[in-house]
Amino acid sequence: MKKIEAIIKPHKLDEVKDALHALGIQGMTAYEVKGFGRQKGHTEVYRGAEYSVDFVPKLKIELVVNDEVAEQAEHAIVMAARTEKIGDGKVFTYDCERAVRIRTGERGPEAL
Amino acid sequence: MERYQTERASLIATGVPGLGSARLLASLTDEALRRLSVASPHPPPHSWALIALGGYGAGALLPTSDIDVLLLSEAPAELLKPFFESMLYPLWDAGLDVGHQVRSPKQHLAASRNDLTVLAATLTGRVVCGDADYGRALLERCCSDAHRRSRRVLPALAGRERPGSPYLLEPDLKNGAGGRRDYDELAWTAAVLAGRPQATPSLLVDAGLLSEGEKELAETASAVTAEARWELGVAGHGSRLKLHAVDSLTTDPQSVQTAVADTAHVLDRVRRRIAGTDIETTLAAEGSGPLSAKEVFAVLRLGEEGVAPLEEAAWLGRLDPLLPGFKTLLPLRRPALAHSLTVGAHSITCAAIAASFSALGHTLLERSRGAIADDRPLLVAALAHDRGKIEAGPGHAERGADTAADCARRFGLGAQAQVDVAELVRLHLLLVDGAIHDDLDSEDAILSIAERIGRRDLVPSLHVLAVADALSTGPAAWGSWLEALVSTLVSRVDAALSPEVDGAGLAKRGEEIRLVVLSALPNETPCPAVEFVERAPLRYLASREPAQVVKHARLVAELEAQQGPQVARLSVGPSASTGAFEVAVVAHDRPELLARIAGALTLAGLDILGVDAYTTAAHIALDVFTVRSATLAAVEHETWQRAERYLHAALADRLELEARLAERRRHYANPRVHVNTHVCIDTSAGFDTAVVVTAPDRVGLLYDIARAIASVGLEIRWAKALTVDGVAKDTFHVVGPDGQAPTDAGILGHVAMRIRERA
Repeated sequence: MKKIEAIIKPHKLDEVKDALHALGIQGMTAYEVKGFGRQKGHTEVYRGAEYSVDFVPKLKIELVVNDEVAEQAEHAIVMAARTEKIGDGKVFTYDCERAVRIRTGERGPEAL
Repeated sequence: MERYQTERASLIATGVPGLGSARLLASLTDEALRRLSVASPHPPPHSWALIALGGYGAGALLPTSDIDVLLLSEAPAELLKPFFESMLYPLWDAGLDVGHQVRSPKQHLAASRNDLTVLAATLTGRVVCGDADYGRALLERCCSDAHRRSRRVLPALAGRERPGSPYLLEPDLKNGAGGRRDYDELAWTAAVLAGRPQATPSLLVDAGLLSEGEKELAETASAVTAEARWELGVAGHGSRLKLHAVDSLTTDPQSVQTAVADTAHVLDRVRRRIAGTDIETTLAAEGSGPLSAKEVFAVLRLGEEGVAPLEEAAWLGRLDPLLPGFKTLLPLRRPALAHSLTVGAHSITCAAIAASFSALGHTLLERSRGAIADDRPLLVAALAHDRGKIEAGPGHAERGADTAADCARRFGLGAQAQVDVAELVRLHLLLVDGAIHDDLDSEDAILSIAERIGRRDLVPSLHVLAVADALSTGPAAWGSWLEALVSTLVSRVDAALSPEVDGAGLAKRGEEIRLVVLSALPNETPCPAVEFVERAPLRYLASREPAQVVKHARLVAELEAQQGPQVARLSVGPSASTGAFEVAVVAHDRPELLARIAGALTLAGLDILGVDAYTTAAHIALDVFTVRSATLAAVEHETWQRAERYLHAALADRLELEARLAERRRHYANPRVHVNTHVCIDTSAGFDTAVVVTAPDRVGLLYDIARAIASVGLEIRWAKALTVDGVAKDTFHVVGPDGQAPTDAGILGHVAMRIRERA
């Protein structure tokens, strides 16, 4: 099993969800996160006064998938989340040792 | 005990949820305790009484209720212990929760005086078994003692904490506002005033503290709440009406919500009558007439303090003349993600929050609040924004807008304000939805939102309403993450709606042109021309006639059929300006592209009067030049052939543009125009930075300026150049290498300096 984490732009969530659903991947967790990377936030002007946002709002999604679909899932996320502009995000993939479905006690891939 | 356990289990499993079963369970428990007392091998040596306290004392037990009892006797505790244990152990062994106390009458009287919880439990007490007169005497002594001390006892009872609002979607049906304890407090109050135990608040009617109608409301509410609590207890859900537990109830959750609200408001009114005080607001506590608009605004401006009085007024129907149907809306349940309150309570809270925002101007929200001169349309919109939820289902914003204008009229607002209120209601979800779901770095996304808003003066009110709506929804609905997105959107939409940009008009016209062009193009897929039009920037579409867009789309399609960065396509047509031509050039975008094209056209003997330069989503540059002959020589076919040759050479880096243009400048010096070169930077748009250059026109000026911009690493997203009477006024919208608008003063200062040097 593989755990995939991706940092994406907030407005890309629906596209990423749809892309994963198309692969048969239904379960995913999403978090609102603040990015403090190379973009370093930005400054806006409103009614003549500047204000700064020192982080970039992003979404972090997490999902655990079977090994066979991990690469496809990664690729689906990349393609769906891409805008070709700075700040599109990153995808990380890790090995997942064990998984258990709490309600039924199913383990391993059956828990996914 | 076995019989009791069997009957108890059967009643819990099959009994009709509610007060009837609760009374039956209390009765079964009474009988069990009597039998246990009779069967005990250790009868007490002195007079004794077993007294039921609290809810059990009032004659009702829920499946999860504690059995609270007091063993009253003068006998020493060590003599009573075997007797009491012989009664309690069987109950404990059966898994029941039994609260127990052993006291003499004197001890219990002292405890009642010193501990409000003990007193409250005693006020609904009754004798279960033992010496009834002995037990009743103690109860009446405690109650009459409380009666004598009523001036202190009643305020102490009324100071009981009632956590939460009666309009929470997940109310605590036992201890929360509007829960069982509120009804109990009515009974306690009756007991204190009467000087004897009371299980119900009926006596308060005789005392003039409760109307008959209010009593019936409270009784009905108590019954409904008991039904729900019975079912929640059986299902193991505790006393809070959790959203996930609602589906397992047969009791209608809307009835429960209404019951909770009724109980809370009845108690509030009784408390106020006892205290002899009016509500600390401009509202008359006991008034029944409709509230005036002025009164509503005044209460809202109290902020959080105004919420409870306004809720009560709404509960009484006093808001309905201004907001028809609000009494129904007040307890209406429409549970949704993150919502914590009923619809009407949420709306009141939203309006109170909106009224309370500071206008100091330190934050973006405060600037919006400070920009609102007359907040009445905002407050009416806040009260009315979810009226559309009276009908279930999506689209509540649109439904609510239909009647919002009428509400504004009832509030005495003028015609324009009525329109504003309707628009605010219609659009109240737009900013949060757009912030989360749209690409805020896309000008087209911003323009589309600007078009929906339509007017810049609505932006501050819409912003305040969006934030107040989120804050009054629940803690999960607003935070710094969403605030950053909404703030970015607000500032960019505000800039887009400025008169200089006219984003709304631009977006409207752009979409109209897009539709016309798409219908004119052949229905072929895949078709680069169709894709170009579908993804063309609104700003570009809005500035073109459909026929021009069709021509450009075909040009782009021809370009995409060829490969290589040196490839370009050029098309020439007449211009609206006398003696001028429109030259459209498409090429794959790259650094300094605009400079190269401009330089090539200049070298070909063309004077550039204006340019509209765009980059498409597919990174194709579409630059549309208005040109005329730089000399008196006519522009002929050879001119365009020459221009194409220079263009391809420039793109292939086979042309020394800088040197060639300098040479041309020596031969074709422009007449002197006494205008200083001026560079102005505007960062207000948010997604790009505008660099506005005013300079005397000359050969190669556009080339030099475009090169200066590229030399500091900035990319021209779109540009507009115009020359009038020898003065060039060129606007370049630039982004940095990261695709964001450059705002660093150092970088912008540098680009201005480079432009001034070269211009």
